[in-house]
Amino acid sequence: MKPSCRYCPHEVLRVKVATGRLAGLSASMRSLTLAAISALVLLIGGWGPDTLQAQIFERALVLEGVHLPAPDGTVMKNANIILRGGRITEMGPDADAPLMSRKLKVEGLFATAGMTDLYSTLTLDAVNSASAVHSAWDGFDRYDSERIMQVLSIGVTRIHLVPVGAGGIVGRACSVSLGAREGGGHGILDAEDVALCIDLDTGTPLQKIRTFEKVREAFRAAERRRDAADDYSSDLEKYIEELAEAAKKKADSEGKEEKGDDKKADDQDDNDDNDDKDDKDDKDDKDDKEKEEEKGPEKPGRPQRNPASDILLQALDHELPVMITARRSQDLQNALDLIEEFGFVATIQGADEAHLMLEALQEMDQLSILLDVPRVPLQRGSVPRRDSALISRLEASGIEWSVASGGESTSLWRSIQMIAGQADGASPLRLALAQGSRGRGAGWLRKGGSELVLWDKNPAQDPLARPQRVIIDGTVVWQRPAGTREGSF
Amino acid sequence: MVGLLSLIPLLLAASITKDGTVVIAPVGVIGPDGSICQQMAVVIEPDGTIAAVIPADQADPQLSTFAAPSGAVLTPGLHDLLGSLGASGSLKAGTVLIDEELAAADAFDPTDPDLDRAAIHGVLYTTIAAIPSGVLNGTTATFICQSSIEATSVATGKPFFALSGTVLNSSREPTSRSAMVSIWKGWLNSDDSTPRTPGILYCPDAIDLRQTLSLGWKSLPVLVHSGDARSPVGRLAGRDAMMVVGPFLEGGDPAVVSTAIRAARTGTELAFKGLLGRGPADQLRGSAAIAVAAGLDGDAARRALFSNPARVAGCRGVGVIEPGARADLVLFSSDPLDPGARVLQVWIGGARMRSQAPDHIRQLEGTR
Repeated sequence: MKPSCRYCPHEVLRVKVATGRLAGLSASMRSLTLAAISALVLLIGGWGPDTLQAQIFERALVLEGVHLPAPDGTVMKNANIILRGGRITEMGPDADAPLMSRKLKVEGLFATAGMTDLYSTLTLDAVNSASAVHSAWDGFDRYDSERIMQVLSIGVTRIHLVPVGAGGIVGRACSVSLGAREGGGHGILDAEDVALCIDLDTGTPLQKIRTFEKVREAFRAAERRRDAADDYSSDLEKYIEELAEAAKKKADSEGKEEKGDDKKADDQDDNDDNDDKDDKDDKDDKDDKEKEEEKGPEKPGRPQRNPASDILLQALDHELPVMITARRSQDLQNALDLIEEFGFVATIQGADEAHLMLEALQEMDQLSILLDVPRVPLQRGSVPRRDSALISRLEASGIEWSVASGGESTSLWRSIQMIAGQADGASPLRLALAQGSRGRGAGWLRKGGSELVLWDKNPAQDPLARPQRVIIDGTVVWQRPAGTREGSF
Repeated sequence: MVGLLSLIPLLLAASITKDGTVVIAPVGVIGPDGSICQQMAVVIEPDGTIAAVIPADQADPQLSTFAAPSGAVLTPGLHDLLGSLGASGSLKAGTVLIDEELAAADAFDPTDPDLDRAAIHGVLYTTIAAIPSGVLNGTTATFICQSSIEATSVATGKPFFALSGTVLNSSREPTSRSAMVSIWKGWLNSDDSTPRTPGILYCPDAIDLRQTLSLGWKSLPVLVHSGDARSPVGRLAGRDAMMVVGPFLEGGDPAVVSTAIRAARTGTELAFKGLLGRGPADQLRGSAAIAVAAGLDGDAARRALFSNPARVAGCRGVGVIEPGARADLVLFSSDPLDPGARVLQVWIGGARMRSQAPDHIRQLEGTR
């Protein structure tokens, strides 16, 4: 077997030389030493190149003297965080820095996990999507570093990128880590299919009704197509049977014809004087019969391929969650109708007027709500009515909820702070990190985590706390600029 | 704490007497320098002015006391500068290039219900001005945000100048930027540059500010500037400048925020404008939160929200909590720079406008 690691050939050679030198040792010592060497070889050879490099040859990164806010509100002071291969391997006051490790001067900063924005349209301004086959990842501009840095600067390290469209089925959301890419830019695809996104909020009331009908028809068409595909399978089996039978028949009839031809050849000399016209008529009749027999059973038509329909079927089969944007009560009612009719595992995004639909929302299984913080103008009637007590009502009704930025990920932390402000004594950090664990983020800082945010103050207690550095996979992807260059947010 | 908060409506009803002296305690109070002094008491006179700001433990227990919830912060009213809050229609200048007669107060509609809605969000003052299409666009006007038959003005108007592309007009002078600067220079050096008081100058772009600073100002006016990375804000150092900035929007241009912060670092005092009437009701605090997140000092941001707008508009006894000032006060649940802070109570001229029992959840574990 070819060694999987470029270091292995050298190691194996050294082992061979070493075993040659062992000849002078006693038998027990020799076997012991050989066993140790074998274990070493196995250890080195068994690992992949990345792991090997990360664990043995890559220097550990040490964050010394940071404070660690805990979920219970306490703070572990002067702790060390050790990262190897981009992941946290040790953390706490007793974690010792390994030899030759790289040290980052971050004394006194507060370390937390990165935040996850569950609804982001980062860099998707000019990208319009209008089909289930469209993935938001296709429109992500990984080189728009200015905007990505703005998002990193508030402590968001992971986003659920949601496609933008003009209503209806707009595409599929994906999960993206905002870490640096090897080939340049930022953004590493974590999961391409996080949800199928449906927008029931865009347009005039009449357009919304049409959109709703279109969406419904698309799912019904997908169901019909699946039925047709099932029919096709059974028809195909039947067809194959018939085909085999026809082939058998044909083979039998051909055997008979061969015998008949010999007899005909003998008779032909006796009938030379027959009329040519009669011969021709007989021949035509025979040709038609042969054609029919040759044609055999009719092959069933295969339903045409339809990738969009296949994705809708995934949603119908609960393999792909559905995210429906609906804010006003009538749109929420449409969303609930869809969920009920097709039995989706769904999240409703927006849901500003959810307080008007609490009972109906409560009845739904596997439903959660993704809130954002709308900017309320002074004029009445221009935006959906949002009850200031919505959070407490959702809590009382037992409806799952979480908070997202609503598109502009730079506002996530402020949105979470606003929502937390509606709940006295609630820590925005707790809310923010709970969302991380709900999505594909890390939740609270723990071993194995790879996304860290270092704050100047304790974000659990101080509303003016600001991130100073963001580390993803062992790389400082953003740090607050010093002096007059400061200003990105 | 939850129990205490649930008692607030009862406490409010029991403690507030409109025609008596009222003590609000214990609260954090925003000082003139923007810092928050904790555990203070503010005494309001029956005439609607502030009598004293004292430590909470020195307040007379015999006086009617408004018991503020723990962590609450008492601030002056928020002030929307140069928006359209309360203005009916649009007041357009520019027919006369140097128009001293135009008064923004003429466009104010004191019956506008938006004024009361703004007050609910803690915005208690509005300063309106004409659209800056002339060199001098009349005077600004500042009013209390409370709908009534008669408007309550809290400041004499300040001249509102413009040195920007909005002044240029193809049908009259100046038609070019160089001509505009010539007009400005000539007018400033002439004897009839009547409004000697330093007014407010609209100079939104980097080139506007550059040309403004090249003029021979006796004292620098308040600068209304958005700017970008090219803005020469470094030249404002040591000139006691004051700059009106914003509104800063979520997902907006970071260079605008960056310019404001650079200016603040030169010692320039900032004041936020919210463009209320069109923008979201919490635009002012939103701008402050964005600026703080970008690096602006918290005290500077509070000054930019409360005391500096009053200075910009030329108000006296407004925008500060000190003896003799108007008792236009807003009680926030926490530091107003905290996006989670809510308006709990508003006083206008010492009279309570609104009380709201906060919503409370026993335990918020994040997502359920």
